[in-house]
Order: sequence, then structure tokens, then C-alpha cells
Amino acid sequence: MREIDCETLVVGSGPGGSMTGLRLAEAGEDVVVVEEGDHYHVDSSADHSLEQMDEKWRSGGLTAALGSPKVTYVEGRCVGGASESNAGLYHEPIPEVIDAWADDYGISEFGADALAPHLAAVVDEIGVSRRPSGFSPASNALAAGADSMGWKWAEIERFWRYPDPKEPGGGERRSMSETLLPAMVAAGGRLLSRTRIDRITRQGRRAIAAMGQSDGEPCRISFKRLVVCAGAVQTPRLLRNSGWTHVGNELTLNPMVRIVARFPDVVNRPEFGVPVVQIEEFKPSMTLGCSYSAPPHLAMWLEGSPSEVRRSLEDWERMAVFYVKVCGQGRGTVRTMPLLGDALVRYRTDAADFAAMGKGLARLSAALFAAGAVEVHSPLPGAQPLRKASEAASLEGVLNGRNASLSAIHLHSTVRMGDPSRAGADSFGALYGADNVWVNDSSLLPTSPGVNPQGAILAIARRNVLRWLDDR
Amino acid sequence: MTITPVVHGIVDGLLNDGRSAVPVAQTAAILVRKIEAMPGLMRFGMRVLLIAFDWYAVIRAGRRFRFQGPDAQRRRIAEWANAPLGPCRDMVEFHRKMGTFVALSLEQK
Repeated sequence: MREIDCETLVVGSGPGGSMTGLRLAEAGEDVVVVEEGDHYHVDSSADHSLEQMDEKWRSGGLTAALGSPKVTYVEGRCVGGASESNAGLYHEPIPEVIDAWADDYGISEFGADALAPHLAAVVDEIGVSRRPSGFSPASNALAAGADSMGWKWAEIERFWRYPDPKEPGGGERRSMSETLLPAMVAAGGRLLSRTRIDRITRQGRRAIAAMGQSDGEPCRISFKRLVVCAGAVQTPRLLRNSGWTHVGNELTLNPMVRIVARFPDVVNRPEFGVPVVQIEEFKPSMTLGCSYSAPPHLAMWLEGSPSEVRRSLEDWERMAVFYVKVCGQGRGTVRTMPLLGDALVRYRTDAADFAAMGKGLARLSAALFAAGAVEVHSPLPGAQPLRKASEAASLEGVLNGRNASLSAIHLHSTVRMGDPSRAGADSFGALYGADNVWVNDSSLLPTSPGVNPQGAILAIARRNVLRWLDDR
Repeated sequence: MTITPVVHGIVDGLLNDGRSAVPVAQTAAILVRKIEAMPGLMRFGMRVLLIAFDWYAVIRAGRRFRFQGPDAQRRRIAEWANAPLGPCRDMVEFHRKMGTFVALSLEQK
């Protein structure tokens, strides 16, 4: 058995784990960050490709929360976690949401003002930027549609570096493997990829060691302090598997539903890059945006037989995928499955979410027709495409548990921070029921933040780890 | 029991309309790999459904799905695509959506 000893073990190398590892290493702690997945170059595979699904996503990207309907989701499983493959959108958290978290969940020394310096530090340290030379045509269409409807829209910054304005589709992803993790290693931290932790051994409230596999060999990692940053599914899986069964009871996520719109002009070419415009009018409860739209992805959201889908795709450069994302009111659970070794994730989509997504589809379709779309493909099985703006309202109220095809990118809240009556960890991530275990990832977010959470996760992780260091 | 011939038959029946050169064998192989990479419960459920689908064909036409001809296979797929049971429909829908995604991804290369 491989034996490793360290002062602090961080499980997970996504944004929360990377921020935690770096700050601890800089403070001179003997820190080890372990990651279940492998270490790939940030550009090792094309975005959203089959290869990227296999390399960087858990279970090849085929994970789902069971329920009616099931909600498919993705989890990063590589060094750097989801930051290696997501769009890297940076949203400043909505101040009212952050302040409400503090009040509703009893989070001390927390709020929009308290988080602001940490957000600024994250932006400064990792770097966010806007495209230097305009948007893709699909983004332009969404913006034009919003303008026609009198709705607010915005260009979303990304954790990205655009070095050359003459290459709008290019640039460098500011992922964890390109930013915080190399800095952590330079500061003396250790990074172990292909290391999966299955269970924590305990003596009462005190965690002693992590048991798992490293490079296919059984391993035991002894530590004084454990920080679990494995994401909103794997963090509660590990903790529950180790006897802390008060976590994993309140999963929240942002369900999304997608549609495909066809325009008279070309809106979709590979060089146009990731769409960065979102309609902000209905935030935080609802976001309307544009997705990556290569032909295989368009095909996923077109109804009809495969040959009908193929015929539709002969015109793929005039088509793009758009989405409605809502702040889910439903709740889910994460449980362990001892015999199968995986997490069992269940989610009950609330009736209010179906209603909100239906309303969002109607709004989005109206905006797309106003922007010149000639056809909007309904996401309902067997439905005919809409061809007139007046038909957009027909999408309102049509979604239900039997016909909705839902997905989610952002999962949270499985180890909420705050008051012990409502949370799994204290205001700075210390796990209730343990003396030396902390959580520092998206699990801590009390509810869906209503915007892309990566900025909030990084800022909260920074806030927490700096407090731990102050308390030493 | 290997699921590869069943997945191959479903991919062929769903995607191969005789008009476009669909990489059926490659697509089926990738789908089998994807199924094997699924989380435990999903993998178990999908394997059970595929085996049940294979043997369901015996009840309908006297031979397992994997041994039926293309037309009979298409009829079995259509029966499950419109079945009253959600898991049966989901199984066909998974192969339709994921198979189309994989086939188009392969063609794009």
C-alpha cells in the first residue's frame, strides 16, 4: 500500500480545491491536493468533443440525476476539474442573493460587501476578459432579439485571455491547470492525479486518514486537516461514505431546456467560438442564452427521426442552439451506493420549474423570431417546428415530467454553510460533527446563485481558507 | 452477456437509412464504451434494458433481437420507442440521441 503523509489533504482539484491548495501552500503548509482524474493539457481535446467527454468528464459525460424527468449533468474529472472544459463564464454574484444567503442561512461575517474583496482578488489573480472584437452572429441575434423586446442583455466576461484581437475565436482558457495549480506546486504544494479517495477513517469526530487508490495501487494518506472540494456530488458521497450522513440532503441545480433556431443567414461556424451574450432581463430566476452549436450538438436537440435530423443539418450554419436556464425550486439528494461504488443522485423538478421553463421557452422563441429566426424547433417529442412569432406563446405551460428533456451544469448546496439547524458546515466551511474536516466547493452554496457560480465558488473558497489561516 | 450485438442492431436500425454512409460499427463500439463508463446504477439499468430488449424480440418474433433481420429489428425498435413504459422509450431515445451525436462527431473528423 502506498503511504503518504501531509499536514493538509485537499480532495479535488477544481476551483475550490485549487484555491484552497494554493493559499495553504503559500502559507507554508505541507499540502497535498489529490485528483481522481488524469492531468491533461488544457487544449488536449477540442471543446465539447467526444474526446473531451472521455478525458475530462466523469463517466464520459453520461451522468444523470434520477427523477421524473431525469436531469443530465456533467462533472469535471481531471486535474483542474470543470474549469478545464466549461465555457469559463465569469459572473459577479448578485448582491441581493449573497445578502439573502447570509440572512436566510445564518452565515456570519458574510454578504456582498464582505465577498467583494475576494472577488476582486480572484479576477486579478486568474484574469477575466471580454472578446476584443465583437460577438458571434448567434450572440448578435440574441442581443438583437432582446433589443426588439425591450429586454436587458449583457456580454458575459470569461476566465480567458484574448491575446490577439485579430483572432476572435482564439485565446487561452484560464483554467485551474493553467493558473492556480502551477502556482501551488511552485509554492511547495504536491499534486497527485489519478488518485481516488473512497473513505475517510475516523476516531470519533476526528478524521485520521484517507483510503483509496493512487495510480491503481491502494493508498493511505494521513493528515492533520482534511478539506473536501470534490464538487456537489462527490463531496457528499465521500462524507456520507465515511459516516457523516447529515450531508447530501438538499441538492439544488439550475435545470436547462434547449431549442434550436434557424435563421436566413449564417450564424454558426466553428471559428465563431463560444457565445457570450445572455438576456439578463429575468435574472436571477431565469437566464436565456446561446450554446455551443456544432452539428453533433444541434442534432441532440432536434426532434424527428435520425434521417429527418440529418436533412435539417444540411443547413447547420444557419442554425444555433439556445437555452433557458432557471433557478431550480426543486430539491434532490446524493446517496452512496456501497455495492456499485458510485453516488446515487436524485432530483425532483418542481412544478414551478416546469412552468418557468415553459415561460422561458415562449420568451426566448419570441426574441429569436424578433431577431429574424424563420424556424424554432420545439423541444417536445414529435412536435412540429414553430414558424411564426405568434406561435411562440404555445410553448408556455407545455413542459412536464413526461416530455421535458432537462440538463444542468451547475449543482450546489449539498453541504450548505451556515447555521447548524439548516446547514452541513459552519459559516467558514467547517463540517459539523467533525473536528478537522472542512468543505470548500460548490457544495457550500446555500441555493442556486442565479448566475454562473465559478466566480462565487472561488471567492468563497478564498474567504474561507484565509480565515482558517488567520485562526491557526 | 455481451450487449454489443444489441447496440449494433439498434444503431443500425435507427441511424442507417441507406442514404448516408453512417459509421455503424464505430458508433456502436463507442456507445458500448459509453455505457460501460456510466455510473453503476445507470450502467446496470441500461444493461438490463438491453438484455430485456434482446429477449423481448423472442416473444414478438421467435428470435432474439440480435439474430433478426434489419426490417424486423426496425419494427422492434419502433415498438419500444412508442412503448407505454418510460424506461423502454428512454432506452431507444438514448441510442437515438447519443448515436446521432457520435455518428456526426465521427463524420466531422
